[in-house]
Amino acid sequence: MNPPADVLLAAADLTKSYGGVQAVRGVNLEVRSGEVVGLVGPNGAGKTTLVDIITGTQSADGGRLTLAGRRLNGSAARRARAGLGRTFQHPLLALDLTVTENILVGVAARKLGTPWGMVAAVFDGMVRGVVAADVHRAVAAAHVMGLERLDRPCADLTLGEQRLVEVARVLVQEPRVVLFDEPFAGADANGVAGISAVVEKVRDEGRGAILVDHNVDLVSSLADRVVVLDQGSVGFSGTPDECLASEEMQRIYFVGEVSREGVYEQRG
Amino acid sequence: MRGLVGPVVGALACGAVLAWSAGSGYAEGLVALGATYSLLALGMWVPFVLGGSLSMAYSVYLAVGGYVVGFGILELGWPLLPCLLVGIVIAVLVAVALGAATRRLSGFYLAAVTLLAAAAFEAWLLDATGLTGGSTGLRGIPLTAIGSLEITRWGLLVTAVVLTWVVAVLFDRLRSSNFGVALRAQRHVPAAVQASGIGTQALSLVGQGLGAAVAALGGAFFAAINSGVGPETFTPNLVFLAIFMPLIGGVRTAWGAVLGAALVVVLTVYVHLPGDAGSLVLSLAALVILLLWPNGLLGQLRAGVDRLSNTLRGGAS
Repeated sequence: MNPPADVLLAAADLTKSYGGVQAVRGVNLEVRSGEVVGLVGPNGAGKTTLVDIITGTQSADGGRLTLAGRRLNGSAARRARAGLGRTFQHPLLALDLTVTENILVGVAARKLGTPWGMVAAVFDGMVRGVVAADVHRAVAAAHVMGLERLDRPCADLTLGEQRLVEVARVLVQEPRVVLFDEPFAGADANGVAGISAVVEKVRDEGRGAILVDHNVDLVSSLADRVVVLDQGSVGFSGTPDECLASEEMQRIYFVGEVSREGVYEQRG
Repeated sequence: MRGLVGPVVGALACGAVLAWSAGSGYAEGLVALGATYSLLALGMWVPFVLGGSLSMAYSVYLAVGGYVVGFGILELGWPLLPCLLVGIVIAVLVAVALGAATRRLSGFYLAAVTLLAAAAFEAWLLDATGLTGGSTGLRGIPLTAIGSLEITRWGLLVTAVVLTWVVAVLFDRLRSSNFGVALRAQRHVPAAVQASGIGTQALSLVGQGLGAAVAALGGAFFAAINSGVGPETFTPNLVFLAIFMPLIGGVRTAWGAVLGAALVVVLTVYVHLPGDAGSLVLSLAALVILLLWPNGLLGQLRAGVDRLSNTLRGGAS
């Protein structure tokens, strides 16, 4: 059955195992146009694995994905060209490239989407070098994120600044759905405000977002709907208020916390 | 303004080298070797320095360029220009095929497998006597005309040097372009480049094809200028030398590859040192430069100029 028309991203029965461990178990998830879905859960719940198999960074063992009604499969690059953007749990930046150059990778993606596009870009690059309009786009995205001194190599940035660069790189791709994987980790108050503003901007523009984080309060303040992952499967799904009040949510998080303290033997 | 420094200094250096070599067969041979080494180093610079992909098969691309010129002119009676173009196309096809076959390899494994391919190609050159002339190679390649324009050895040499300058200028621009930035980024964070929508394997293949084209150009000119090519002309040893050329000269600009190639020619051929001392001096120089100035000679020069400029600005204010 096809998802409703305003559903941008639809995941049905996604599964992923590592050896004998099922990291993702039959997850169903939808992101609608102009909707931010918060994805929370304790450590090891399968949040990043789910993001990885949606974006093609890892392959799923089973399940079906659609983006705006069209089947979504293939490599991570192909899915990105189809309209998926993502950030990583640990910012993935080329540290010896400058802030502008890292964001420029996102701008360049439109022109380097196919081998012939790459060949054309080689000739264009040899004749024109860097294109001023592309640099302006990268600089504008950096300014939206509050980044300055853009000629610095990314190795000189704080972790929070690196996250902002990564978000800027995703923004310039103009994806239909953005998956933010723990974007607030390491960010200072300004960084949190900047990233929160971007998440709201994505929603206001009618795009969709999945916001993964441990901070349930922060996610609830930004999300329209919250999905709680528990040991690879969806343990709860509802509005942020329902989520915060839910006993199921308390149980998942409470058990998760206790588990980290070493009470697993009590469950066995 | 700063972007003009490389092309202008490069043009002056090329002019000076040509003027120095004019009239001396030995000096012209050195310049021909310098141009060939420079084109080889520039060819490797794109996939190796920018993309981080160390293929050792560049002796193959040099040889393809050289042998196609030899076979095309001697056996088929073709003019030089079509031979150059066919050599480049074949080298690109070989590079793409080899790159596709080794797409899952990197680092040591990629170097080892491509080195094996280069060794196999060298053996094939000896066996395929009908095409390559076997162990004697293809000798006595005549200078052909392009239309009514007579080609001389000196004319070929000037063209090779000018082409080296052109390729260095174009590659320097390529480095900061969309393609260059993406290639440099995929060296460090391929997953992020993929997640941006750029296929990293295709990106690497295009870089390798481009590098092979430039190396084939170098091989073709070397064969044409020296009127011959043989299995000993372009050995894998040359590729080992070429790895160090950009590292010595400087990795942040294509001119570093050219400077490194020139230094290699000077130290290993021009300067008469006893025995194989030139190679020893080169190895020591490479070691010292890599330890002290990881960005190479031009990188160090630029850092010095920046420091001086900052000091002068500070003094003025």
